[in-house]
Amino acid sequence: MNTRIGRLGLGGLLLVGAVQTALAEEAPAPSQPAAATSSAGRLSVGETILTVGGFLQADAVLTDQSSQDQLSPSGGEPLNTQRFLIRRGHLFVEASRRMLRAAVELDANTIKGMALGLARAELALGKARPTWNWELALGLVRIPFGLEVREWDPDRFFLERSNVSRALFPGNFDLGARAQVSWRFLRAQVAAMNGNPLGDASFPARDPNSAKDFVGRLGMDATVATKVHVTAGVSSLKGTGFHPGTPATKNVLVWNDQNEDGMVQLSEIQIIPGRAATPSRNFSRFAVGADSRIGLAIPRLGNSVLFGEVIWGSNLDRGLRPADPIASGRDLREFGWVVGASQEFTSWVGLGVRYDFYNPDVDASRQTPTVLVPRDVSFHTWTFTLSWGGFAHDRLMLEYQHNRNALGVASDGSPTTLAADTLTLRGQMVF
Amino acid sequence: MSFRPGIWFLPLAVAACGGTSSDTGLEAAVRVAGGQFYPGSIDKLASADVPTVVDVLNSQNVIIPGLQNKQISGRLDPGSTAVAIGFSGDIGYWILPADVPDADSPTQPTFHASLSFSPSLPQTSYDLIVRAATPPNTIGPATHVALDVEPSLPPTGGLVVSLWWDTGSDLDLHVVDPYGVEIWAGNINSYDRYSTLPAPDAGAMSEAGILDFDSNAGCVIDGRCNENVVWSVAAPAGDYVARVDTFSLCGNSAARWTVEALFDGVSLGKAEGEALPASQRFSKGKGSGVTALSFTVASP
Repeated sequence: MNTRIGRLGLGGLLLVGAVQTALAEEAPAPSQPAAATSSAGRLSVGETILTVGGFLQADAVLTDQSSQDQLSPSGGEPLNTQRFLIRRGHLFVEASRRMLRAAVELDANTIKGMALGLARAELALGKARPTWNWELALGLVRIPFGLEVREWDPDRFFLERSNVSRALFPGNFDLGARAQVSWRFLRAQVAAMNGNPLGDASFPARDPNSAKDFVGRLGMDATVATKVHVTAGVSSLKGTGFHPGTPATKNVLVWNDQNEDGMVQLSEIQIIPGRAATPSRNFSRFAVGADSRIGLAIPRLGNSVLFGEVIWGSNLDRGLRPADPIASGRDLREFGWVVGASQEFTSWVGLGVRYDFYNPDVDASRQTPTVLVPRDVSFHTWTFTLSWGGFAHDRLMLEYQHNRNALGVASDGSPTTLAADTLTLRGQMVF
Repeated sequence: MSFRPGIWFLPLAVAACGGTSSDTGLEAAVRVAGGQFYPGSIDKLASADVPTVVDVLNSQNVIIPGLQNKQISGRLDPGSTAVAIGFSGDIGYWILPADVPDADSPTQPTFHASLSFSPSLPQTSYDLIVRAATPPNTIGPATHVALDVEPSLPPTGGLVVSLWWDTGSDLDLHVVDPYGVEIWAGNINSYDRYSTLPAPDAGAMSEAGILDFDSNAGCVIDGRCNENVVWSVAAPAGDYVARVDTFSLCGNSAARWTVEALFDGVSLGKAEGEALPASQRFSKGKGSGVTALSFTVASP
């Protein structure tokens, strides 16, 4: 089945059904699912083919070093993260008729309480041939950048994307228009998008400025030998970020009881003059990246996958440490990479390991009592995943993450790692 | 009970070693804004002879439970990069990076700490310990600052009617005096200039019952959760009614409240109750709320 999908390419998938189309966007690999297509319900009404399907990912966070049985002093949010939760519950309906395809996908989750929202909504026009195809899509579409962003969630061997991917692209989908074309093994995708994907820390699924982000990827997707599948590409993003202005403020008198006598003295009253509103401003941002994945189907053992991705960016962090060069007074340069490997042992058991590095500000510095010194604010994560399951995407996963960061303060005042290791169990089913 | 897989998941537990605690220190008696919390007693840290704390500036040695933003500052030995602050015997201490030196002592790093104290701090004396630190993780001897905890006193007066509650909800105290005047957030003073019975005189306004504070008004949570109506001088004799109005639970599931009337320090009555979501549905304003307490002030 996997080999068949690779031969058909995107165009063939467009014709045979909407689910296959969704999967084809995610860079087919030896581990490409068969169950998803076979388990999705399909109904033909005249010329229209309706497809219904979805997937569920239910998590049990067994331990998290950062978890506490407290509420956040600032926002009142629970700090306990050792819990059961629905990470993703997706349900989609796709309709295809001649060259047209429409899809709506909903996501229900309990990450921050019960939530139900759009995960994907696109209208596409496309044509497929045996060796080439093209498609134009409009709506809430997948961002054509890199490897991990384009990957379908149940396809991913690990529970979540790497830090660099989640920081620069907090969601896989953004509102915009996308064009993609493939010829034999070559793939090209370009898109004009709002630049505020689902999951954006400031304006998710909205667009505070009229400028659009332009994203594209040029790559290849080929079965080099009978058992070897190679995916590789380079990606780029050029866009415009938004620094929010502030409303006008009134004059305020503040009493600061400096001598702590509980009495108001004139010298303790501070006048904070009101300020005029400040305008919002735009700023430039960009990213370039390169990615590759090599899959090897080993007879009687299973699939081996080796992958890697590297991204350079500027002012693009929208998730982990949102970049705002207007507020910081300088451009914030990001750099990150990820490498990983997974190995199936028969069709029942799989093991994977991944290492990812992300530095949200390579020029960061900190003031010591005497000098200004460079500061390493990078995140390093080792991820180990054990997967068990006998039916393609339907599996049970146990994942341990060892995190290293610079969020803590050592006893001598220097930055150090704030403990944040996690152990998570996930059950997943595609239907 | 939290699940600790490190016990049985040995390889992963080995990989997990390292990293400072992510405990926010909310259960500590003293908290330092912007500091890193470390579980363990500050007294038991291995001590070196240097670096030392040169001096500590502290305005007041008397604190009240729940006090916020108490400022202390000081100077440290040259080469110091951080300061450890905590109560002797507390469950943990705080590490705060040192600041740049002042102009008048350019070689000595400084520190500026904003302290907050637990609202449940017992009334006793505490030993605040300040210790300078320098790389690599060397902590110097302790400098001691004595702090005495005094309770926050309830308002005093001839007659005090108090309402307390336990969650960040907007509850309002309404007190009706013997003349039928209702004191509440919409009428904080029982003095009625248009009243003819009894005829007001020049000192009547200051002698009236006054609501001291509208706590958590409009769900802007101030954390006080306490309102008092106070007659600073002799309250008029007669029958009083105290009501509790649940303006809003502000998202909480309930609020347990207590109302007490004190006449010259002697309790005239006490009542307890619970505000539930259903309590919010009544109209708000004068006359609203449930009757919590009725009491009589005798003629002198």
